[in-house]
Amino acid sequence: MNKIFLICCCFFLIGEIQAQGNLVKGSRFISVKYGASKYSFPRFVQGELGFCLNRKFVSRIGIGYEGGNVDNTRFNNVYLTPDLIYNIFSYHNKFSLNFGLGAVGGTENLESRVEKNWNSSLIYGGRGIAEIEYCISQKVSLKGEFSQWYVNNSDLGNLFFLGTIGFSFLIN
Amino acid sequence: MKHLTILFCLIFLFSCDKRKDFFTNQNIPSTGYLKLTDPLNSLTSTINGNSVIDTLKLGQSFTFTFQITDENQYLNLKFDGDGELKMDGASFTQNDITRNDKHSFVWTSNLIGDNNFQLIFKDKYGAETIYNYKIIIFKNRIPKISWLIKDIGILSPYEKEIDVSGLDGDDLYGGKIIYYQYIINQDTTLFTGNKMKYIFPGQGLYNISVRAKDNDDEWSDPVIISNYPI
Repeated sequence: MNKIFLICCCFFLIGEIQAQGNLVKGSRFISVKYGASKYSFPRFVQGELGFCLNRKFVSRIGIGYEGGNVDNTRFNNVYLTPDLIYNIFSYHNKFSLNFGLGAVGGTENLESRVEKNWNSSLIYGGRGIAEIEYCISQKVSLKGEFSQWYVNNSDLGNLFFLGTIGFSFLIN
Repeated sequence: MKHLTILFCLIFLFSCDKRKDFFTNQNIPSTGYLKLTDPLNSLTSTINGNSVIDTLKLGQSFTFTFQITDENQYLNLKFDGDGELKMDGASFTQNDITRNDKHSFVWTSNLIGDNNFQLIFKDKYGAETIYNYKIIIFKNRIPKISWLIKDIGILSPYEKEIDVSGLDGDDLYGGKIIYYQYIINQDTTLFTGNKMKYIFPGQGLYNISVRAKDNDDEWSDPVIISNYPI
């Protein structure tokens, strides 16, 4: 059920003006995304600030929060995610497919759901990103993203997969 | 669009998510400390890890204390199997208990033969520690005896003493021999002692039989010697 939901989310597209084809060097945008992981169905919220390096490359820095449960363990994680995104192709400046790589750093905060136990740790790692953008208007676009994360020093697990959907707003 | 759909489906299908339940994974089952409180049970029980095997005479009870330790404060204890169990004097089947508390248990059963029951300790994460008990209940064990004849010869050259040795089969469980039956040819004597003096009529061959009766009103197998020469 989670897989179907995530596939539908990522293909519920409207569009984005920064379908990379319209981006110029120095353009800036902010994004807000919401998503979930494949294994459990936690909450993941992310805000990003992006900067266009050229027509093909975009760098962005984001802060994300993920919360959820894995059976008897509740987790609340905060991530810092600097990324570098590359535009694979654009279609009529309405539609873009982007791939990227990013670093991950943050804190993992675990709480037992049955006993008064807590555990926190600093985590770090990286992620691979696949993204689709679609224009809604000159300033707004819709983004769907899949990302495979790998983190070290995690008690929850090194590997997890997130799907998100959100909006991007051109600043200038 | 079709290619993109296929691409994203492939990405999704080859994704990897290996999150685990941290607190459940690091949880360890509880550890119990059993102490048999009846001195008799301490002699007859065999404790092998989490298993206890013992024998019990019908009407007696199996008593022990138990203390459980765990990193969790509360555990669930369940009694499952034959017989009836009392914890701290009250009838017990299942309840939550606090770690490190010591509890006394009394188990009884009217079922002769193998009685099996379990004490199952379960913590909040679902980890179980099971203690298995096998109590073999018997109704009674008959005495086992042997005898020999000693020469006395004080009152008569044919004065002898029949000296019987042996115990009731459940002597360890409080069983006792209450009297003996001595049969010499057709002469039958019931005597509470295990040493009986007897003056044989004369030289000859005698059929001598001795058996014992226990406090459960059961006879031992007779020990017979035919044509014993006097």
